[in-house]
Amino acid sequence: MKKTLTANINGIVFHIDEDAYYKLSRYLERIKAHFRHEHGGEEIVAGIEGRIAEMFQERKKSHQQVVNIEDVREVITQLGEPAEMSDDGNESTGRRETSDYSSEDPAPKQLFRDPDNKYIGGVCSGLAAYFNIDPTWVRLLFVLLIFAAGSTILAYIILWIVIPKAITTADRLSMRGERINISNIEKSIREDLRDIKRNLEDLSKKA
Amino acid sequence: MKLENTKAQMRKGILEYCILSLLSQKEAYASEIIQALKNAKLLVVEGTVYPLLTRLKNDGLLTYRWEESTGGPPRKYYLVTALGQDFLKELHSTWTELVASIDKITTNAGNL
Repeated sequence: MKKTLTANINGIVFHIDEDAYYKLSRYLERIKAHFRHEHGGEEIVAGIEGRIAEMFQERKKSHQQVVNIEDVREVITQLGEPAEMSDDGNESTGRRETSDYSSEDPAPKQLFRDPDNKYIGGVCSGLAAYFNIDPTWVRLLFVLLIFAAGSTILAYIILWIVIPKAITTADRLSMRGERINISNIEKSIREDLRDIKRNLEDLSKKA
Repeated sequence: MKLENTKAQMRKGILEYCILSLLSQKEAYASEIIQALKNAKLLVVEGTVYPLLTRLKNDGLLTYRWEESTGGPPRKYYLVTALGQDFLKELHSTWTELVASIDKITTNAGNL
């Protein structure tokens, strides 16, 4: 037995399995995020939604009443991920995306100390995240500077005091310059869960 | 360099020309355009068409009208504007020139 939901897609009502519903709504969320800054973005999303409704209608005629996860998967393969749809010839936006999670405009970045990736206070890794470089280089630079001038240690301590620690998920996203939206928060939480799982596994191995 | 990448880039550039060309013969709604492009093996993912149509419309090359459909929501039928027709003529001559040049280069590649 499966729970079904009803979804209104482009004015047509569909019965849809719960898992299929979430997969589809995440897909639409990615599309919306991708085209948010494009001129006429809403129109693009509306067009795609219309197409999805059409495909589901076709499917309904041929087999069953309820849209399942297979149907959603097929629709996504046919329509493609937002990065594949991008109209690269567009000079007016002219920006490229590396993945469907990052938005077109760089999100405002904030300087934080990175508690997940620290040796002492997370100052170097925070700076590295801010300037988008490998933290090892920043650490190396600090160590070299300590040899050059002992006051670097004092500078580090001041930075430690002055720069806030990234505590919440939102802090960590703006530290990395990622937009605070549902899909990024979800991604970040997934990463956290993976870390916790890994730690637990390590612990159980030691025990 | 990945062959797939280059192919995708080529196809994307040509799509704009093809869409204008299709619509200049007969107005159509998005799914018909998709079907025609798919039949011609020009489309990898269908989603590509939507941003392209919106851009062509915003640039004033295309316009649309709503039309009722049987057993579904109204459809957006796209048609080429006068500006679009001129643009298409330009594209067509550019394309013909390009084909001729590429033909020349690729068939005479050995005789530099």
